[in-house]
Amino acid sequence: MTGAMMTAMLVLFAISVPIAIALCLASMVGLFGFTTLPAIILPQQIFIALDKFPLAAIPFFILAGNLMEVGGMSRRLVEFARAFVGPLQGGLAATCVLTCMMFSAISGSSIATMFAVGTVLIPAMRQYGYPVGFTAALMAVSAELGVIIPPSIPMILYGVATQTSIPALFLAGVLPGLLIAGALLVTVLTWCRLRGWGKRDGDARLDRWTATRRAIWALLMPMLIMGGIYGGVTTPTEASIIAVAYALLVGFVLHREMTWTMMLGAWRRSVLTASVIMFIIGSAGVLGYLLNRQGVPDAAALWLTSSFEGPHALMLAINLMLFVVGMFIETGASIMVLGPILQDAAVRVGIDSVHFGTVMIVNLALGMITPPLGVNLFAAAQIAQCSVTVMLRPLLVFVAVIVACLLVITFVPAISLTLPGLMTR
Amino acid sequence: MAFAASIALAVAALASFWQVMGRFVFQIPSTWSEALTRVALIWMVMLGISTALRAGAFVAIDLVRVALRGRPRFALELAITLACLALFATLFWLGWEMALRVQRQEMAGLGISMSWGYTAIPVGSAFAGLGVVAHFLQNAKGVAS
Amino acid sequence: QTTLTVTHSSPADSHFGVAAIAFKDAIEKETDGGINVVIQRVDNEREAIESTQLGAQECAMGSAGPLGNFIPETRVLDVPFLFDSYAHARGVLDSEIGDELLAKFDARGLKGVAWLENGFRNLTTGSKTVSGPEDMRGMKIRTMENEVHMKAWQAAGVLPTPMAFSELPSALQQGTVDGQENPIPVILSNNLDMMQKHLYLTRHVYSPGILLCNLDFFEGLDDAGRKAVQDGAKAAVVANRTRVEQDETQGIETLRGRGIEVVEITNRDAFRDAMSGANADFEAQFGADLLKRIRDWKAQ
Ligand code: NA
Ligand code: NA
Repeated sequence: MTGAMMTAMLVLFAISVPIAIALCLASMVGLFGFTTLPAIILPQQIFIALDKFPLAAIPFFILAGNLMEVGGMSRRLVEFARAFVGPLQGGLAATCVLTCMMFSAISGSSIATMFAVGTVLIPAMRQYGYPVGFTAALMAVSAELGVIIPPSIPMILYGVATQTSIPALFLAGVLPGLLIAGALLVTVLTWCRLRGWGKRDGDARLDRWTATRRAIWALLMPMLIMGGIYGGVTTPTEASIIAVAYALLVGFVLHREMTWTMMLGAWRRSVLTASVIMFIIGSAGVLGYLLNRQGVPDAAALWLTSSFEGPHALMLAINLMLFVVGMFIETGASIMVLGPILQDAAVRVGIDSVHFGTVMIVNLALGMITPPLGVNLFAAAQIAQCSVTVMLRPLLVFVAVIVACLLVITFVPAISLTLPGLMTR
Repeated sequence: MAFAASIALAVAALASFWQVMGRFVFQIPSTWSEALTRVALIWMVMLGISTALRAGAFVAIDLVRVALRGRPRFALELAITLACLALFATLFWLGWEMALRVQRQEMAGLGISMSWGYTAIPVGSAFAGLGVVAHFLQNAKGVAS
Repeated sequence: QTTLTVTHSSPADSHFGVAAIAFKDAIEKETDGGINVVIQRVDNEREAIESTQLGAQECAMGSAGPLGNFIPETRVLDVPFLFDSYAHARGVLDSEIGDELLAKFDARGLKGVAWLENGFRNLTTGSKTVSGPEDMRGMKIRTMENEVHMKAWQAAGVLPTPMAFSELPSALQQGTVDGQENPIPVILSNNLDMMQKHLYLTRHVYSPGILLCNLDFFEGLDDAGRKAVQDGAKAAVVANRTRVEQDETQGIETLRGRGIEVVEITNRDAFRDAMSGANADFEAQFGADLLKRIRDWKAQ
């Protein structure tokens, strides 16, 4: 039955059926063709997969991100970063990385980060003479930070799927996120120097004081979110709704840039993005249920732990597999279906669940920029009005940089575990 | 439908905002807000996907689709549309049956029938089916011309 | 050969896990393998009952927490300070009172096979201490999403804060709530003591467990099959209760050893009185007669 479901899924993927629909249809093949289970569990399992309070953070963090964009926060963050690194050669490229890093600390998704920062920075970088492929590729790769630096929707999904502490996962993402941001900064600054791009990036920037003053409300936001969670005021889910309220307050009252029309537009866009992501969670729930009933997770975890000796070999094998999976499957679906199986295997050989989750998320974030299915690539291409093809050459370099970071994060658990370790007494 | 889904998100947002405020500002922990948030979000998802399907916003590995032109492309688009319709027709039918089956089960926290939650699936699937058809008709024009 | 899938909500080595194994062994032995029992774990207890109702699985065992949403009459068992001791609670559930409640399952497509248990629930707190019920006033205590429990806590002046169990450890850690209440094995197996400083043995609510099956499945079995399931249930009950006792005595010692302060409650009546404001409500809801019958139950 598992074989039939997998075959059906691959065929449907190949003929371009949307991922979420393909997962559901493949489950139907398994359910109706190979089991005596009542058909009615199809809607039941979709409902059960979605009927979880922590998932509420997904629409709320997406909404907060979109509201911040229309409320003028992303533009101010760009000006802020540019005031500091603009004078360097390649200052705008560095601004892109830094702004994504800052925006990541208030947004839970890479797509929200992409639209918030990309719509401001891609036109600016084009204007200052950066090639379109490089610009779009850089934007796509920097936006990955959105899911690595907390808050993060994939971390919420992993926490829900494997019953791992979400606050611990959030903290575990901080240093890996900084590591990746640092590596990207070094890469783009070197790259610009070699190619002679971005010599006039500092022109017409704001002075540091003005830029900081204007961006202050946006800069305070991460502290509000994280302070709420770690200060004992809110759960991560509730922090996401505080983020929404704060974004409305800043947009309407403090910046006075948001209009009702803009707010409704952001609201509507958030609903669409969140529905698509969450429908995938529902579909993955059905597939997960059927695999569970077949005992697949246990068998797979047993096979993995017996085939690869020791934690290092296992982690390498899992990383390789996730890299391939990430090329073809959307992050949320991968986490919901594979998360519990792989985490089980990892924990059996003594790998910490929080560390494993961090590795899994960094790896799957990479999947957002690898073709053929890379959601960040699609979004960047849409904003930059270019084809994915022109992004491929610069992407090779960026993927190599992230893979290097991934290996460091995989084999140095301290990078992930130091901060969560401070949390428990 | 995007409007109804937006309302559902607003209900969820207000309920969870009340949850935080209730506990910290007014010292009255809410007993119903969590359940209401969950139900409202299921409605948001099920109503929201119809607009997303109509806009073609579901992610797919569309190497093959993009490579094709003319009649083969049209045939593939038709196959994808039929696959989607097969799913939503099934979900409509089974979802409806499910909503009837759980009528007498009470939802914890809200004290209403579970049917109020499960009904989102048949209702959403019906609109999702319409969204799929609308997308196909729009697209077919593009492919034909 | 018939396959019987039974799910339970706890780890294999727990009061429900051992019950599931006892159930399986007894049935397979008695039917000589005629009924093949498959044990699976489903954490979501509402889902397990619903799936049993739909026939996606044959039987389920777990805490009776969500049971009241399916069979409202069973909520009477959630009333605080209804039972004085394990002997009292088990005696009532094994008597005709327990059977009358199980008989109500049929109308919902379920077969109530036997009452299991989670044990008595106890209060834990973080930095705040509780020397009497008045100290609980204004405290935020995480409770189950159960209206009977919440009403009783409110009567005692507590701010009951329902919250998903998955969010509980971090909420305790960060002080989002001041405390929580659960049976000892739950506190122990989820390491909740790591985030708490005091354990008060209040035994305020007895938390029953339930073993139920799909009604059509059960009635479709032949006499021998039905008897095997009933006998399996008896074995499950013994295994479950033995383990709860063992977990509780050892668990309290383990918890003490790990450094949480364990406080025996000598004035249990004071806590009972503090919650008595909700009694009129409960009498109206469940009938004063039934409550009295349960409270006054004596071993024959
Ligand atoms: Na983030
Ligand atoms: Na990819």
